[in-house]
Amino acid sequence: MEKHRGFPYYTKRVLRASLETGTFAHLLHRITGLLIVVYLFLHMGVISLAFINGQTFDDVMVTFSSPFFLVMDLVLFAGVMIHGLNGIRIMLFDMGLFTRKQKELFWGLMVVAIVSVLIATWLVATAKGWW
Amino acid sequence: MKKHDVIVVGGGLAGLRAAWKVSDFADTAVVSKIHPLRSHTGAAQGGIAASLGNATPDSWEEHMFDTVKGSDYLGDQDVIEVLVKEAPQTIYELEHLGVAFSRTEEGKIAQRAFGGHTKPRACYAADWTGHTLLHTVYEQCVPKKIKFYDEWFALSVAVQDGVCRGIVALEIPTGRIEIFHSKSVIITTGGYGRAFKITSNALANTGDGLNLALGAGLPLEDMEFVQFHPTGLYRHGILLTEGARGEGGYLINRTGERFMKRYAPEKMELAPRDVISRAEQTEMDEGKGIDGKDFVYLDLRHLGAAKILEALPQTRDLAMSFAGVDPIKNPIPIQPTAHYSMGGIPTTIAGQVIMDEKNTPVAGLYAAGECACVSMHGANRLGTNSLLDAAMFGKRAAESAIEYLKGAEHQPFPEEVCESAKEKVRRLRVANGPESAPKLRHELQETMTQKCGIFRDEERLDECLAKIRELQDRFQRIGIGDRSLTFNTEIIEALETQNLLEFSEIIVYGAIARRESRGAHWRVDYPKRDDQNWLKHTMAFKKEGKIELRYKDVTITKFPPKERGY
Amino acid sequence: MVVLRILRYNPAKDERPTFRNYEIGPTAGMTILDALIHIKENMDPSLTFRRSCRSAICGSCALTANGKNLLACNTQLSALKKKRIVLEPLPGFQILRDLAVDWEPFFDKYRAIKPYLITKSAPPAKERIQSPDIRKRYDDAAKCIMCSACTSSCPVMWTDDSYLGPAALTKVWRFVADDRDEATEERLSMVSNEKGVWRCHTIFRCSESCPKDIDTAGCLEFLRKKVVWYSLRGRV
Repeated sequence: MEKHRGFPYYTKRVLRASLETGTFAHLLHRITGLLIVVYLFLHMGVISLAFINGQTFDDVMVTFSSPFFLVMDLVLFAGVMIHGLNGIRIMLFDMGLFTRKQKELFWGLMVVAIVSVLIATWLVATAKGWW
Repeated sequence: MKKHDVIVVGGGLAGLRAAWKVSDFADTAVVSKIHPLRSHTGAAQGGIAASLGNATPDSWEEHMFDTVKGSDYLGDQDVIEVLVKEAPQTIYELEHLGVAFSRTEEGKIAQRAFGGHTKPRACYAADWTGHTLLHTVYEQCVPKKIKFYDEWFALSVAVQDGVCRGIVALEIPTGRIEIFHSKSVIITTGGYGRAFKITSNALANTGDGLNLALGAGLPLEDMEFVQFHPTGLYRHGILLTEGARGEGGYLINRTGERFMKRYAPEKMELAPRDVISRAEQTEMDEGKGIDGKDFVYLDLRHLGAAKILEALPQTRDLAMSFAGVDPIKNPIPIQPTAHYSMGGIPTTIAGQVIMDEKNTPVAGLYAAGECACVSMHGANRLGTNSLLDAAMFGKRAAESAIEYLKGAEHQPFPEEVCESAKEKVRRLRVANGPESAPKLRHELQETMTQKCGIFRDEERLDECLAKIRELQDRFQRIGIGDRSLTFNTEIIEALETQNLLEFSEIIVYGAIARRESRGAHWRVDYPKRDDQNWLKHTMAFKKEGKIELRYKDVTITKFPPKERGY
Repeated sequence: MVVLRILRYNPAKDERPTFRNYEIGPTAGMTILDALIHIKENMDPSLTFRRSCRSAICGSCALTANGKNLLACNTQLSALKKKRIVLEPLPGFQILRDLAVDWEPFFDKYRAIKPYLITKSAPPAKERIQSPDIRKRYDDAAKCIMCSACTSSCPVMWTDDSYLGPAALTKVWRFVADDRDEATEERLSMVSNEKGVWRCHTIFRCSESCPKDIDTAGCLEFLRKKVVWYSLRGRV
């Protein structure tokens, strides 16, 4: 008899499932959530360097202003925007609003997220003189 | 062996109402070949009739006259009187149980016009009235002590010495056959639209209950009266509610003409179903179907989007998903579709099954709903009267059963009934002949639609009878490919086909004998109603493979037969 | 030609479910159910599935097609826009055989939420008066056909099947929204827990699977809102 509950079953079903908007939003929310959690731990690790050795911290900070890490910053920003805006979407649902318009709401907010990431990119690019 | 006081066979509206009522007094079980919520009551759309007078003033006398006239005077008027008098109370009771009726502005139950009724008296819930009735009554059965045997197929009912003793049924998921020993049985298995090719009925509507009665040596009444609904979706036969015309929909032919004005100048699209179906068929036969084909249009466009979305949402969904037509923008292609069986297992006004034309009752055996023939629908049922019939006579049958149970004991179950049921299934399990059950079923459906349809004549009916007998013969040589005991639907379908073949013969046999045109039974060769010779109910007995017809008088109380025009 | 890839399993014989391919030439307007019947009658009589009304009202034929839960009877093959269609029984249930699943756990939850109108006051002589606006409030929820497409599609159910699931909770909303029902507080307390409304992750897979276009997730959210208001006033 096959088991019909638990994480393995969930994973198996999700991998086979059709990805309509709601499910896509759900998965994206989980992925961005995990990304942010991972970032938070890295962030705490790096910040705590300052308590151990100020010089190392400054060196690391220099590394972090390299183009690669700036791009990573933008990825993080995108994740935060997606996660945050979708969080607002979910809160609206909890207030009983827009439940019939969940698809439109999601894609609308994703447009907002994309636009804000583009603006952020432009800001970073002009500040660094890449433009 | 399972033992209960009452076994209800069938889980539609009539069955659930019976179980709901009787379970307060006795140990009740419901045996149904599909889960009760899958029953075809759910597909009833337009409404349930009662002279509540919420839209315009109304009275039970008017409802009674409409029903009698609709039945072409073949309905028993004492039964009709009970039906229409108790109708409002039944509706109020259902409303108190939680049925989601649509409402008027003052918050009363909304009512709409329906074919054959002179007043708007169809209480409705948008166009899913049957669905809310079925679900509500099932919901109310949940807190009661009712044992549900879902997906058990009843094979035979045991009647010995005029006393009912229970049933034999097959558990579909395991293939196990068991005796259900009981003091009383209520048969509520519904109709048999599946005997026809184009039908509004579910794939499960194979009239199995009729064969339970036949198998127990009981007669069937008025089987030749089969109602064809005028608005079945073209090619599918799926029902589009009469409520669509009640709300103001038109029927138009290829020239865009509202052709009903030539057939029923007064009532137009709201004439009874038999009249409209014949009108449609005549139009098509005269080449006035759309593009000369066998369909006409149901036009709702003038009602406007708001009205359609509010009052007929399901009709729109069905038209869109099955015909690719949006009724807001385009007319819907429709054709007549086999819809309802006026005949069935003869019962008394109390729902008790009778074993002959002299109204001799069978102790402990009851029937209600479409499978029964109390005869209130006579030769043609009016729309919305069937839900009322099921809801009311289901309960009435239960009330009679309660009375009967007070003095009844379990009578010994005749072993041979169980043995012959087992033998019947055993033979199918090993059947390896050349014929296939689905093929036989298709041939039957084709023949019945062609030759025993809206217009009938002796020649075609004779051919039809010969064909059915040939099919019965060929059924003896069928083969079954699936040998598994687990959820073997092939065997169930073969059993259903066997049932269809059994009672279809009776439909045709009765139709040949009845040399007149009355209600839904229209003989081209005898186009007049003949009250002199045929104002009587057909009682068909089947003994050792031979059909014998006897006749029973119609009860006439208030309304003597008159010419019927709309 | 279209290939139907159907998950076949007879627990009495087979060790595990396996896919089998059936190639058919679809006719115009052929639905998945038509195709299944065609296969059963002409190619493989042992193919097992449930069906009854074939007009999207009985709820017998829900299954998974290309990863989406739907009714076989009202979905045309052409609507899936694929030459290869994978049909599986509804996820989250035991398979009885092929596409037929064991619905008992689903109906256990249905029974658990008291799915019937509860009234304490004596009924009036006629109907109970209800405004069309109130009637409209539960119109959606009352339309549910109990096909279980929503509950079976819910990713939360896949992780923990003690959750009541969208169908049962929609049924709760049907009665909470109906002003004839007099057990609102009892119903709200019953669902204000980790097995009830608070388990929902607003994934909307239920609403997206509903063959009757019911806003299932919406019903659940309205229920949540009601639970919050009642809790704030200390009534739940």
